[in-house]
Amino acid sequence: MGEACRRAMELLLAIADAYGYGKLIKIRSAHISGISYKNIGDSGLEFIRDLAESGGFVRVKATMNPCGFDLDKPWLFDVDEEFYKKQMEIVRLLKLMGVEETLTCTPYYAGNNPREGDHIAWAESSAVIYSNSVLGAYTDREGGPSALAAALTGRAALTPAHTDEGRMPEVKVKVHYKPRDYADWGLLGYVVGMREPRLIPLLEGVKAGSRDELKYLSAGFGASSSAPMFWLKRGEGCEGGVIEVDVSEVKSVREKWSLTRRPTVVFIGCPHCSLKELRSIAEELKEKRVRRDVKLLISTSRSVYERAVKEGVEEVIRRSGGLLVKDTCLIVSPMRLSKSDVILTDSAKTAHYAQTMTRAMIALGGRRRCLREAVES
Amino acid sequence: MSKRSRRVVTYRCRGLVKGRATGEALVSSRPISFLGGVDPSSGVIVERGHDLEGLSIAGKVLIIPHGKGSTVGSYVLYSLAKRGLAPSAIVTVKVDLMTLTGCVISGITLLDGVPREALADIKCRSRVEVDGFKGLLKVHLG
Repeated sequence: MGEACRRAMELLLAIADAYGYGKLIKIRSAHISGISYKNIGDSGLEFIRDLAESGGFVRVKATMNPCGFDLDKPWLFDVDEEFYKKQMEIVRLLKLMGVEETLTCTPYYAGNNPREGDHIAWAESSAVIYSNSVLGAYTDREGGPSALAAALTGRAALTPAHTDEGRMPEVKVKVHYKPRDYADWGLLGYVVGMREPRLIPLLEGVKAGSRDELKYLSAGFGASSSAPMFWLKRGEGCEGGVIEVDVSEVKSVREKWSLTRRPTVVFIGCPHCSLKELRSIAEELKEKRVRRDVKLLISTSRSVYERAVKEGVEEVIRRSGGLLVKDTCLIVSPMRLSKSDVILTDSAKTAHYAQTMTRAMIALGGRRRCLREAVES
Repeated sequence: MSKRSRRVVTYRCRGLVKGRATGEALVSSRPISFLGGVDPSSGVIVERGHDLEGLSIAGKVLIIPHGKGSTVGSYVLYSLAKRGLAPSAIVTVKVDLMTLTGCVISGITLLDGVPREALADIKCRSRVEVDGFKGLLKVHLG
């Protein structure tokens, strides 16, 4: 065993002792967060460099979360020379260890697609919740370092999230609210997570949405809850208590994030857009013109981006003046946002993080509203 | 679970990262965020309003309820350790993933399971011994 693998194993065993059953479990894939230099800084770069230099190499398929900028359009993100160099170094070192340069929070659109029953070790809360709750895989909410350790060993700590008993629903949530668009789905997940932030909920009264809708539900839930998953259907029900979530709760969060001024930035793509989403955005933007005083930022993964280019979808968005970007998002990029900025987004997760990480005013609106506000009337 | 023998109080905890350390206690009943809360170049606590603000964690035995904040905090501990500025040990009431990860990758002795009341009882600057093999925290009084 090489030095990097030994250190990785040591970390996983300590986690297994502290939170699990003192054992490791074989995994099929890993997804690693903490890629952006904005997040991990020099300390994280140092750790990744040490692991790479001590001979670390992945044992399973491993993918990367977004970094600080679109590698082909760094100038859009207020990146200075130091940031650029260090970010490129982080990506280079991870690639050297065999991690795929996917740079997305939706690895399941980028070839890292777990099957039902697979044990995996993923970081990035939205992807964790989605893979557990929608795809039926088994993962805990790994952190950046533990997901990397899992990639280098092909193992994860055996914790309750990897067992059927540990994944039983702990609270029943009766939902009296019908989400109509992606923003509503994200908001619903966010509100459910806020109510019982530690418990695995069984959502009752929610009609299983499309994969994209469930992606937003997962992201919103992951932003406010520390639980590894939710349930939409489960035959045997739930032994825990019952809580109710109705329109008024959703409304009160929505009011906090209501749009009172013209947006300066409209952001779509948290989690990264699917091809289907990009097609419908392009449809909306056809023959429209993005306002000069608005930056319309739409983010996706490079794998979806390539397909969007082939289909001509990227061209439609570009011609309208919208910025279709890959590899990054608003939150992990160093883009300067001041007090005078107004960010309009259709992602509850972005709204949640932007309110603590920037001084800008935050508003949440449906996708149509986002696009309508961004274009000239 | 404290046993009084003359002037030493012993707490039985759980050893999560093996090792032994002796040093001055730095105690707070408030959790610490290493990312943003501690200056990685000096080890000084910079979180505004924290009761330990302005004090350095370097070489100390840090006794806290738990860590908080992003898992990136693990890397801050790692950086501190490489510069000789890490705490010599960390003792928590209930460990969190960030602190655990940080201590493992940095080789910082770590215990959890110290009773919450101990955070009020143990005085800052008292001399403490940490045994990560046996899971013991010994506090020298006076």
